[in-house]
Amino acid sequence: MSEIMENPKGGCVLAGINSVLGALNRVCPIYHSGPGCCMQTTASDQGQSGHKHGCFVSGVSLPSSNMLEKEVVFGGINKLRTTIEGAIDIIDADAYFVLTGCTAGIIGDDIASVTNEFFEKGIPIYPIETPGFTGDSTLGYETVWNTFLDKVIEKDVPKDEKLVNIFGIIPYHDPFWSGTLEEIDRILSRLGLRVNTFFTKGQGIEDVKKSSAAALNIIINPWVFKGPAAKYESKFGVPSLRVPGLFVGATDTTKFVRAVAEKLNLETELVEKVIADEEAYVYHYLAQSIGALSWKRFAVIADANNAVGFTRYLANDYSFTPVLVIVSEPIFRPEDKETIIKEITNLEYARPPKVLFLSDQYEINQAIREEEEEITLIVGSSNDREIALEKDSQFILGAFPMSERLIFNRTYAGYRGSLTFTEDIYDNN
Amino acid sequence: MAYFIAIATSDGEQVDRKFGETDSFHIYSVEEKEIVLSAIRKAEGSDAPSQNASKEADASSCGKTEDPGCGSGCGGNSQACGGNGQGCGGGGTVLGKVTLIEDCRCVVAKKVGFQAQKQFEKKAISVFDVECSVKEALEKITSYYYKIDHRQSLRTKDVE
Repeated sequence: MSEIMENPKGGCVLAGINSVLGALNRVCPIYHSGPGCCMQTTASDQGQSGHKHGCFVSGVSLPSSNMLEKEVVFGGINKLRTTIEGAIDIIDADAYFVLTGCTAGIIGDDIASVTNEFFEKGIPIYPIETPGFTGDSTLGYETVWNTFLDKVIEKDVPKDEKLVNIFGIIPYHDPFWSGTLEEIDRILSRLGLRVNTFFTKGQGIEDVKKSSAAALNIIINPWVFKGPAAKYESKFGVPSLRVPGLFVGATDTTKFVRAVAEKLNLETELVEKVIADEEAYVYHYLAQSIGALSWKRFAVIADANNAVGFTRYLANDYSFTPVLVIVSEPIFRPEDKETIIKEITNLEYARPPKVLFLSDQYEINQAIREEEEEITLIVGSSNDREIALEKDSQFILGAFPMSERLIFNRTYAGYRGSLTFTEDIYDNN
Repeated sequence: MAYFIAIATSDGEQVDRKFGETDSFHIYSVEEKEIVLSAIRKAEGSDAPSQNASKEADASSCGKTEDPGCGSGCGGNSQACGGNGQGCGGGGTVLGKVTLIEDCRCVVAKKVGFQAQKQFEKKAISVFDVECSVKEALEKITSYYYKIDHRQSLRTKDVE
């Protein structure tokens, strides 16, 4: 597949891997790549995600073997070895991962043999032999978990019936990732569960190692994480529950809570009490400002997960009229597209919107420009602001890439996030 | 297209000389996949003025002039030579050696200093500072150039 894409939303596999490792506490990526990869991969994901960066190591502080022509001709193994030695010397991390850049991938350096030398000395270092050119950042997320499943996660950890793992929310590739994970954690904790988000509350590689103890993997995404989920089940016997899209607002979040409760046979009385409590909280606020937002005919341009969440909330809970939904991440499997279309079009009473799968910014702009029906609200990324201005429609910055907002723990997901989303639409943010 | 490779070696077997210390280069001529030792070029001694410096070998002019060759005058005696913007280490010697092999496509030596690397960079000559046998260096470099000259992939194995 060789096509040119205008303004791709995200980076290469390396960018995805770097984002996931950067979100894990005290984990150090080591690049076996050309000079510049550290900066570029950090800029393409973390740099466009609400001005938040991995704070242990990221960007220029990442150790890199900086391969040049000499390494291409004579192999870069010796330089990688000294780079690893230097990284271990200077950076006190709980685990190190050696990443393969395009250069190393092409010339075929045997990275695993070098990491093994250090691993045998008791240093927790693991190779990730998926070169940058293999795919995009979303694949990077799956690649990291495949590496964890093959090399890091421990077997024979005693089962914990109340422990669940959360997947599908990709750190930095979703600017609201930490807030979203915290909201999911908050809701599930009320049901008496212990939650592995892996990327919040200071969790790190130790929690990854013990994640095989979980009773259930909850995957909040319509299409990502199929391979690793199957491996979790076959290797560690952890079943999974797929929630086909992010839940925004009371209706979908309650559906999510019920699905988890049913899968884990949770006590009905407690579950119903939590649901009633949370819904009362949300509706209590919504009731106080009925009519604050005028009715809109809206379009959404976002990754699949958020596109599902935003469309369903605005149509089902807020009775806005959906016109057009553009899923802006590259999705190739037809069955994944079907799942996404089903979630977006199967609305309670609204007429189903048009659903398009477009990643190229020119094509996205054309689709919005040429839409015959009137659009008065666009929820999209920083890249989509221009077309919203051209259309003279209201614009909400709610998707990756996001370079004009500072996002700490803000989220649009769950019960409480839907209130924030509604506030932001009023504020025109 | 034929090209030359310069290797700093004492015996023609091992790449065992640093760029700064070597007094000769084995020049190999490469035509497609055929490699021939075409010459052994001797560098002039470090105290001998290089082409550029010959007019101003006088050490007193060293600090004032901007002639890049003047370093040879400085390197020859023990005076400091920071004033000419060329740094220390006898820039003239470096330049002389660089000029000696400027028709080559790349240079191979045990070590190559920063100054020399920059000079080669200006002339678009690749620098390989490696410790290995001459045979290995020639094999790897010619195979690399053959591939890029013939628009072949450098990929050595299939990735997943």
